[in-house]
Amino acid sequence: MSESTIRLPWWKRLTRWAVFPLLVYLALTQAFRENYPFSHYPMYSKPNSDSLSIQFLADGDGKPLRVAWHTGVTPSKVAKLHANRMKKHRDDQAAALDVLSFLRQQNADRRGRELPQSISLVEMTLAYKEGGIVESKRVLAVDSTPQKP
Amino acid sequence: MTHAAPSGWMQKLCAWFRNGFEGDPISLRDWTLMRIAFAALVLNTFLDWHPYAYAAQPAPVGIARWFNLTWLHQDGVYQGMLALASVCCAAYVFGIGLRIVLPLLTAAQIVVYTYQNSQGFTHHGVQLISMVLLFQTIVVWWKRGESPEKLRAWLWFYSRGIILFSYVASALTKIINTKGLWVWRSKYLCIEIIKTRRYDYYKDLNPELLGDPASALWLMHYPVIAQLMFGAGFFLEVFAFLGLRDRCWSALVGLSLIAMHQGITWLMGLPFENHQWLDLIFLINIPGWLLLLWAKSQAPQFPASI
Repeated sequence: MSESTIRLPWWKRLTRWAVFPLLVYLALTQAFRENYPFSHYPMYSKPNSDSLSIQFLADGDGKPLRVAWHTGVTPSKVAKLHANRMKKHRDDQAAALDVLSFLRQQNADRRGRELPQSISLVEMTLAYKEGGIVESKRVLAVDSTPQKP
Repeated sequence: MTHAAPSGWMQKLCAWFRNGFEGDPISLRDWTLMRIAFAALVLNTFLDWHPYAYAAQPAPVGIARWFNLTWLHQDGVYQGMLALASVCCAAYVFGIGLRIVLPLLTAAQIVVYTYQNSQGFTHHGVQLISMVLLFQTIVVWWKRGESPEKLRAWLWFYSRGIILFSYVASALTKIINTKGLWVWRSKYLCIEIIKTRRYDYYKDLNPELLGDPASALWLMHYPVIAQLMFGAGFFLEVFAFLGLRDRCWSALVGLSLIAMHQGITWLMGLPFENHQWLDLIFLINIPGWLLLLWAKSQAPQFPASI
């Protein structure tokens, strides 16, 4: 560092440091959050003792279906889609029906992998209880739209 | 004098910071090898994006908030993007027209993956590659007056920087979201491991994936060990920026980050392969070390600037 730089106030020295643009980037990640290509990486950033839910595709009786085989959509995408639709509908059932309608669309062109007439979106909740983890399930919505021939 | 010791180590620490964290010199051969590996990684992302889930952007992010990107579904766009990326990657490898090639490549990559992230499924697998491209674009314009030697040193410095500070950003979010209690609360992450296992099961209903993973149950019964394990990863992210100090620190932090990713892959099934490739290419830089060792064996007084 040159003599003239050392005489500068600390904040001016900071802005001349090669690392400074990266500090700006750090601030931008928090400002822009999830706006591609920026990300503040929120995954697993809020661990707590609350219960946790995931949604999966099932038939009309609540028996799980191979969602990736039927639709090409992975279970984690189903859950993300449900979370996204919850922002739109603010209602469990409406959001779930929206997801089921999407999964039907994805299944439309997959010959030999047709979905049953009645499908449902089931929510499974994992919760800490008595030193272990307890699992519970509830059906969010059932879609009985008949398949197009 | 009791005051002498603290000022002594503080001075040493300040000197340690002052004597690093600048664009380390890098040989043309070394940088070319990095460019080849990075271009291959970028090109791979252009092979991977087609087709999209569907033709809509119900959850727009980034530029998709202002622009409709559904035109990416049109016939021939995938092939066109792939051709554009191939030409740009080839030019990038040969170092031709970087001030044009890099913005084109960056724009194409950001458009493609912004659209994918706007379909309701946030995916962080490719985002760091886009950021490296974006920073390289900024650097080739910002440092355009510099000599070729200095330019490649800055390109390497800021490529490493964006990778390392992304880990710091992740740690910062954890600190903000838990008010500094992330390590203490990390004992609750065991449930996330079980959640990941459920996702794996519901994908294809493979009976082998039914039930709770032993690692999660074990960590749940030993919360202090869970805190130590996750805490080690957290502090690695916090101090990841030290990898910018010099080539040795870069390799050390890079190796530690890959070890962390391997641990996360084993525990949670989240490989973040592109992140690991970036760590390997820019932080660890195995060909660079081999070249350095080879050069040293050829000429004992070889300058340290290779």
